[in-house]
Amino acid sequence: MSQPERYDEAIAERSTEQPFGQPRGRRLGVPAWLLDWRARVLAFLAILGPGIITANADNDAGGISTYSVAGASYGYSLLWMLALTTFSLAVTQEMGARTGAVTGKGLAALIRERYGVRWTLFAMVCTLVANLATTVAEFAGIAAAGELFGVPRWLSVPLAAALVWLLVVRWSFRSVEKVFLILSVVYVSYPLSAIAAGAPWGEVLRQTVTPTFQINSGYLLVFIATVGTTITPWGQYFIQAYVVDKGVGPREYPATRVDVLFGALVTNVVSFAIIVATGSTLFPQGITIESADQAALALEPIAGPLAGHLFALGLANASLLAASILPLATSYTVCEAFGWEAGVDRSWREAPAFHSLYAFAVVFGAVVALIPGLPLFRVMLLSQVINGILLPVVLVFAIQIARDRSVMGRFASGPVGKVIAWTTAGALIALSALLVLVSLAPIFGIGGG
Amino acid sequence: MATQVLYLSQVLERRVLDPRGDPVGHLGDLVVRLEGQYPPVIGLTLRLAGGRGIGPLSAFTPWDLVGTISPNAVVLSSARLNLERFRRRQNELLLRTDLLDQQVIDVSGRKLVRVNDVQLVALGPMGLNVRLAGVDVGLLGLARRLGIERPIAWLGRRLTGRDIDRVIPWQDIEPIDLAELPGDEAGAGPPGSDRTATRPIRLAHSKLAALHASEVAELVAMLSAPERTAVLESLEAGLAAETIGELEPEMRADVLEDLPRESAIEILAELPPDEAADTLAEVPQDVADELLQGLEPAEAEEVRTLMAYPEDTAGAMMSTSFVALPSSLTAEDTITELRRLAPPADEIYYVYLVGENGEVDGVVSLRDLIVADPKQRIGEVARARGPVVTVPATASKDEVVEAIDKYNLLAIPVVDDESRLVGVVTVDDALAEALPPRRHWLGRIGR
Repeated sequence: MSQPERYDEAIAERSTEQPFGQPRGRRLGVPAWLLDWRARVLAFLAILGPGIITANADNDAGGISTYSVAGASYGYSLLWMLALTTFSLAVTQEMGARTGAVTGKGLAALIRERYGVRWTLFAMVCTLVANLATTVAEFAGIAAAGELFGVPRWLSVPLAAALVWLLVVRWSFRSVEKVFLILSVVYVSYPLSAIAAGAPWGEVLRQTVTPTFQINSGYLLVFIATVGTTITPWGQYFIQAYVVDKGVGPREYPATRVDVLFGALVTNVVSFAIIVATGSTLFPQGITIESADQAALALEPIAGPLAGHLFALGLANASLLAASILPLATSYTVCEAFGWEAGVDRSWREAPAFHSLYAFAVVFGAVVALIPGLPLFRVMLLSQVINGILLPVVLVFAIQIARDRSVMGRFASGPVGKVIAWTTAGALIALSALLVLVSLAPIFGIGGG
Repeated sequence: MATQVLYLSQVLERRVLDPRGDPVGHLGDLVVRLEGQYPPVIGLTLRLAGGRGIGPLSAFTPWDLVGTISPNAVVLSSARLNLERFRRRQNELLLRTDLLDQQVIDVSGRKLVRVNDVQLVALGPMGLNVRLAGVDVGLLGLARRLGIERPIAWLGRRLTGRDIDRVIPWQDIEPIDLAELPGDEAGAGPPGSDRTATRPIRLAHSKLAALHASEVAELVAMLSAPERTAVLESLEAGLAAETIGELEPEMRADVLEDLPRESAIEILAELPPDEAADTLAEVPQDVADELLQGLEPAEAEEVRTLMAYPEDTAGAMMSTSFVALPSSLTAEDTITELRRLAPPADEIYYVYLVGENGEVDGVVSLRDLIVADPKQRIGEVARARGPVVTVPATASKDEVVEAIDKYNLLAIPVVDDESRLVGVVTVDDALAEALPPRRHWLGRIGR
């Protein structure tokens, strides 16, 4: 036979030719990137994954309302704490991302494997309470945003719940998140507004580096809420799950670390701007925020009469993004801990616990937000107080696992990270205890604040 | 004494007494030797009382020193203790450390389950022949751990009308290796840690061998990356390669990067060239080069050629092995030749007739060959079939799928810009591309 039996040999002879177009291969084009600034920007955006998403989801309804209240009620005096919290956020997010990259597992699974059923149940109950409270806050945020546009909450909330369900179950979260990310440029209006309002930057800077403290329940509430909305229990689970889901391993971790640290910085730049904007506009006039239209006043220097609509747009976007993550993340977390089947592509029969929990979280959040006469803004703030009080529970597990050499090998936490993380958890526990004391004191006739 | 069912949670941390009834410590863990359908318990680790100052000390007590075991306490039959620190030997499993609360593979149910409790049976006259019977993955196991078994069992019966316990027999369970820790490759961990002292374990995973490679792939895809690598490494090379071939290219690439180079090369060599090319396209260039160096030169060249085609084109989808024979052969000789070549199932259905410059002249199907006159030349058979449907190597994924669907083909030949036959896309490869990928909660493909 003159011709090859199999055609392989003939192919091998011609293999040096480049048949068509660009060859495949992940890291082939590196030198070209360096020449082209657009490609460089794209490359930068491509690694901006988990950190930026979590960061953005962090400035949710609870976040916007808490920072607004913090600035309106206490001016710039909480900025020093926010600056410190930036380090805590960076450390805790890095810790979660690193644990995810090394173990390839979620935080809930690791808690279960390391601490057994009882501790897992405890952690899950705390997580569930914190997450449900936050879900309520997101729907409250949607209700508040809707009302600024003149849409009654009985219409906006059920619509949002249906939309969230559709987004997550019918499409994937990944395709939706980009829309939310683009819409989050609305946040740029806060720093602009702070500038337009003529914020006294010297004074802002001075208060950022000068710690002050007050002992009264109002201040403590806002203080705890500010920490609790910046570093959240669900954010701790989320960053880890996101890293695992992205398939980031120890090899790819250095890039993710940059992303996570950058994300923490961006989050707090936005938070900082919200506090400065409200501190420059509402605080001097003595307006303490009780409703969304008051919070919107902070954007008046830049948006004038449109401030209400601009604020509502930002609030609605933030609430919807978080509302589409939270119930889902909650349900996954609990199922992961107890080993129940989970997945949006599983049927009700295959994954009954997962779907029930998911449906419960969405319905619970929406129904509570629909309660007539519910003070929406106060609910959003309170949900973050709950987050702040329950955060240490989740943090302690996360810290212990990340520092455990038998889980993390040589990627176990170093001393600096450990000290910052423990200080954060410890400070929150102390603050929560102080809050309880201060709140109870009048009842027993002590102090009488 | 009759057969008695015992749960791990009922004996863990219970007091261990010496023959006189004085407490010597607490039961830390049970050790089984992995052999037979229901592995025997061969000993326990004892956390000695009064470990203050020197940390918890775990001593191994072989099972023949145990007098009685019950949910209340374990009584030793001898006062002699061996204080040597416990070290796991090959083929031994620690029920608490390795199994309780961990994920295992339910081979019969083909899914991952989390172990809520471990079921043991005590056999023999003294009830001392204790064996690992199964793992409890139900709600009742969770309730037992929380100390609320009875009310939950009652509630379950009232609500569902039957018992709600769910124990999977050990013969259907495949435990997952504890992966090696990053940086701990030498096996040296900090002292005093039970887990580290006993890592890593290497299991045989013989039960997985009973499954189809695609089922194994679905299971290992759900594992964490370190566990996935450990399981795949333990599988026999053939099954490992088939399993890896069924994974999504991205995950496949991660696995190949994680595996020791020799194992990765061995597995890569087992993969069909098209799959190997898809995989290497996802691996960093230097690693890909290193792996390609390990392959035989001809094979490596073929993979390189395939890697040069852009993603989602016919060139990237195609396989380069097919049967090409001269048109002068008779149908009978062709069948004889096919018998000799014995190509795999998806290559046997079409024989391509190729001209002098490598261009496709015609095609005959296995059916054509069987129904044709044995003396007829296959060139004539092919002419009777009419012109060959081909796709250019630059054709998109959708065009390939459409062509296969439109002309009802089992495989479609792929040609370069000079009409030379360079490969074929088979219907199952096209189908895999056409089906929507599975979604994870954050949208990752292929979970």
